[in-house]
Amino acid sequence: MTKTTFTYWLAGVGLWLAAILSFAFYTIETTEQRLSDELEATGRTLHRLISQRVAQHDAHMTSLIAVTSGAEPARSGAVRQVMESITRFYPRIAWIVLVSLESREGSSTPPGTLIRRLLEVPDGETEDLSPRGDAIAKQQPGRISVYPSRNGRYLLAKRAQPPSAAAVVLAIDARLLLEPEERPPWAQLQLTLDGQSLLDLPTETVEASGLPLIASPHFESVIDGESRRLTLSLDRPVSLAALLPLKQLLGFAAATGLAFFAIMFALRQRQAAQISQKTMQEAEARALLQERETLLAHASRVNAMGEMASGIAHELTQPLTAVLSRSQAALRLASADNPDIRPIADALEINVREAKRAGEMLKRMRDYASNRAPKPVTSAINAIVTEIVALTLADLRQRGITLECSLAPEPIRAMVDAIELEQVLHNLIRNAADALEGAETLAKLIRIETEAVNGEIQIVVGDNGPGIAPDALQKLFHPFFTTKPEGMGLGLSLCATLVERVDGRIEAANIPGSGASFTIFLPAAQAQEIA
Amino acid sequence: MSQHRVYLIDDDEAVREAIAFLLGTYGVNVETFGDPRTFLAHINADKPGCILVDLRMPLVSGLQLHAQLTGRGIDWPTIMITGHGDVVACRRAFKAGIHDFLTKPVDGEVLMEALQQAFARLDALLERREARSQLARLTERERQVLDMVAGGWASKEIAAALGVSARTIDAHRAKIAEKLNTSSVAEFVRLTLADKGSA
Repeated sequence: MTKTTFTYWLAGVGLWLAAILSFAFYTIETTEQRLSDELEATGRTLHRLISQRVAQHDAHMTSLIAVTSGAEPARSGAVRQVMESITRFYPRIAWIVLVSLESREGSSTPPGTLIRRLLEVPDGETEDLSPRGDAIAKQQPGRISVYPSRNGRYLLAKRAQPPSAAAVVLAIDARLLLEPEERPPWAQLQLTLDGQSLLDLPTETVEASGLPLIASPHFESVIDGESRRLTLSLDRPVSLAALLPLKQLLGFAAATGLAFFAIMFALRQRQAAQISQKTMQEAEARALLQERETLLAHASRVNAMGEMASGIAHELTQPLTAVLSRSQAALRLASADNPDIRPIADALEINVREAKRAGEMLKRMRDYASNRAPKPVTSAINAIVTEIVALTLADLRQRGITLECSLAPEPIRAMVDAIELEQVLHNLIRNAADALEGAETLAKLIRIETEAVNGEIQIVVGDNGPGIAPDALQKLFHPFFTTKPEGMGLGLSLCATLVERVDGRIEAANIPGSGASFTIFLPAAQAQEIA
Repeated sequence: MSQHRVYLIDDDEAVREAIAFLLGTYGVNVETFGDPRTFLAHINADKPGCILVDLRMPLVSGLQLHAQLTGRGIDWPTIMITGHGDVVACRRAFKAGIHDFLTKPVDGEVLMEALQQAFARLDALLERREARSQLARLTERERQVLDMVAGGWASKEIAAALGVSARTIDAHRAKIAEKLNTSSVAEFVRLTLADKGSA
């Protein structure tokens, strides 16, 4: 019981821990998924914003090229106005410069392209474009190229269609590509141009620092558009604490712990209830069985008594007849003139004896028929056998059957209920008599023997009838097995039950050559006073 | 009456003894037997008596005994006494020709009454047997004449009816008186009636 309970509790705790663990894993998994989804979404938004802006830059350049392609000195004022308005509206466009690409000839300087600034907003920018001259000159007209610069800037350049030698260069401040409120505070944001860092904004807030960072979702995307090679990358450092909030875990642990406790308690209650119910049912079944057995025993006794009734009635009417006749004879003698007292006294004496004989008979019958609870007591077996022999003798004589009785010379005792043992013996004797009834045996004989063998008492009831069929021998003591046309098949089954109730057993066998024999084995009781 | 015997057959000694004792006080001569076989071995047709037998006995029942006696030509009145007088047994007994059927314990008065009837029947039986043996000595003609005399016919009337002379009838009557050892008409009547079994 306690061991089982302990095992139950152990299993419960194990289950609880497993539940907490799986909850932790699940939480981490889902949080991670959520965080990385969030990162992905933010990354896409930023990507879109930057792409739009980059596209704007392209558009600005295209329009600037278009504006400059006309008569250039005359419209320089207008171009400047456009450029100024652009820089005013878009602070990230740090510098706009209109240049003229001139091929340098002669030997004084190395050959290449000379960039001459025609118009710039704002003025006085220190950016040196001369190293880019050749690259820009080699650009396909109408295409935009990107060049790295300093201070988180990069340059965009576009040539006008030939024959114009003009080109537009924009310096873009990468730091201003995103508004401060647009950038996620929880991620490291990097913009690179051909692997060269333009912008590196570290995480502003690390969620619940102090715990090791276990996972870091990453987002990377190349900004689409004509000015390629601009790469946006986002990194989100995530701590275990962020993935698995301690409070939540503890809350879950507490809740499941309580739930488990409740379930275990409920289970135990239920188990206890089931056990008690089962015990109750078993007790009920046992009581019912006992009641049935008692009923059956009684019914069988009444039945047997019915059969015996005629024999007993015969036995009883005999002394009554004798008493009545003798009394009437004595009365007649007494009514004579000078009565002789001697024969009258003799008659009365015999009458008293006869009446007692009748009384004995009645007592026996009453004991046999009464439906009392069995009380096994140390009983003298020979006396019981003698009793049942006396009860059945008349009936057997009636049926032309001789009853031989051979009792153990020493007193033998066993713990039995005398009436029940008588009943068993009566059943066996009746069966033997029934077997002899139809038999062609001439000298019909039933033998009863008692014997003490190795601390066991044996009572043998044998007959010289036809014996038991071999296939019937196996099933003889099964309930409802019968070879008699109107038999119930309960007699021997009941015998076995009654004998086993007092730790005895009953066996059937065929005596080679003559009839059947039933042996009742009973544990011998220690020699003591008969109760 | 008391000159008749009662044969009592019962397997219970106490019953035998008690009933014999009781019948003895009435002056009835009782012979007792413990079982039917002894009785059958002992029985003598020259010592007629009433039979008092228990219906239920080992080996041979009262009815079987009765049947065996009948088979031997002994038809003395039999009274059956039984421990349980069920209707079936009773009917079978009467069908078999049992004189009376009494249940144990049997009252002395009732038993005596039944026995007295049985004795009367036994007397009639013996008388008829006697009459028959006497009448058997007569020729057919003599018997015819006897019946007519017993019927109250005068010799002349008989002679006329039979177409013979009155002398012949007288000769017949003398022969009859000689054979029956009586010439009393009253005795003639008794004999013929006994022969018819109505007595």
